[in-house]
Amino acid sequence: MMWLLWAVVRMAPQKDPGDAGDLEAVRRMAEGDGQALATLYDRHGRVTYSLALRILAEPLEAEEIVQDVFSQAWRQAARFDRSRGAVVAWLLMMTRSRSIDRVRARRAMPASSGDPDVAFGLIPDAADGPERMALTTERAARLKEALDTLPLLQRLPIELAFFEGLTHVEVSDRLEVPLGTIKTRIRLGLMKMKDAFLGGAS
Amino acid sequence: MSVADREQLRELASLHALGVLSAEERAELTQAMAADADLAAEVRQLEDTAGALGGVVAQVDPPARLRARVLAVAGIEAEDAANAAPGSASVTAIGSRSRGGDGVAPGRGASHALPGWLAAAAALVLASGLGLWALQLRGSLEAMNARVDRAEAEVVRIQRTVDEAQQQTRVLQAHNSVLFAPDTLRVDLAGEGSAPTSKARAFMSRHSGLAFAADQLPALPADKVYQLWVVPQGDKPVPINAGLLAPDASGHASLFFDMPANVPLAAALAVTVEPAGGVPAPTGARVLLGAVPTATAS
Repeated sequence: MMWLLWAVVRMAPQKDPGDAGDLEAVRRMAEGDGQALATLYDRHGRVTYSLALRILAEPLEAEEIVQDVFSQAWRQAARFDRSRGAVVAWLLMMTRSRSIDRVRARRAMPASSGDPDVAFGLIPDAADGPERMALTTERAARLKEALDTLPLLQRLPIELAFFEGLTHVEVSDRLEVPLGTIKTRIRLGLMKMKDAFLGGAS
Repeated sequence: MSVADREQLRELASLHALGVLSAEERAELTQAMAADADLAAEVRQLEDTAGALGGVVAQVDPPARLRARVLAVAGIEAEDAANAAPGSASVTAIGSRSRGGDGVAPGRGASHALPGWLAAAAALVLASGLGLWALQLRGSLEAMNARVDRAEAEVVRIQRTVDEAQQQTRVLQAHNSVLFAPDTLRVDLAGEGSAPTSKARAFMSRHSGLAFAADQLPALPADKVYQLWVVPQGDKPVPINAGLLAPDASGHASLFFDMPANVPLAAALAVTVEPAGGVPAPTGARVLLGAVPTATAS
């Protein structure tokens, strides 16, 4: 219960009841409450399915990914670390890395760093750091707009890396652009999106 | 730490957020973050941004059966969960519910209406009828789901085609913006050295970019590549890398280069032969050269 109180107190400045609800669901899942898994799925089943479908373009495979992701969330609920970010971000990163691994297996490319614990969240304990930014509807809208208005030359490498699972070296080969240029474009594009995402929050 | 090192770490941070770093690069970044709180904070913000990127794709409703599949993981049946009010504990097994003690006197209904065995028999008939009906419903639902799935797959395919078309349009628009920019200059390049018959033409605008096309470029060995350079004006110009050229079988190659901000005025364009992958500054033999006209330079 103290844990929940602590989470709610930490959430308060963000004014985002969505993530507090997610945290509550994850806490109940950790106690073996199947109903909480239903709650979490009802909140985020659509967004995780949409992402898997965007990457795999294959509805049946996307379904399998979503089932795997929620199955993993169910098993690992007790180990979910609030300092790693919002629950929905956790679900999305698991969805992405599993989907990308499938895409790469399809193309007979070596697997990416499949474990989202490795691919996402380098910082073991960010409790003292600045607050993680939750994915609110408003932030998502700003991020979408930023992505849509990014120059093609910056947007393309980011999309190839994020949605197609290409490494920076592979992006450079695919676009026939030197690696250094690709790195710079990814950085410029991502910084613009970061600024849009953080928006007036900081 | 040098400025270049710092910039390189920040590039690593962006790549990390997209989940594409190798294990060694990740180790390098982790080590640097331990000593640099600003970098650590930036990594965190970039992670959150990239994490959210997955949430901005076009939203598609998953098929209804997926919910049942997910909930089966926790050993619940979808119907139970769907009918339950949020927070209620209705996921208990049916057997444990009939233990009574909920305020309604057990057996009261039976004494009023039917003998117990008759009620049980009636319930059995009703239940098997309902079961059959449910089975039929499930069958038609599966068929409907399959049709919806196919329709969704078709929508996804069409969306991809539209995305590709939009991308091509953007490339064409970029070319167009160069052709019609007020400061656009035409540069003709002539072949020399190992490519005496090669020709190329470029349209360049400092603000809108550089559209370049070359013809009759001789084929190169696999470890070599053609690279285009913008040579700035001045005594000791440092050429700007404008990208690699990949000629097709007929020796034709084209590329579009997005001019960096505050690019200096150009004196010439040149193409050199370089090691595969390209180099930051020209090292190899020149095969194409063209002077930028100065009369109308902006």
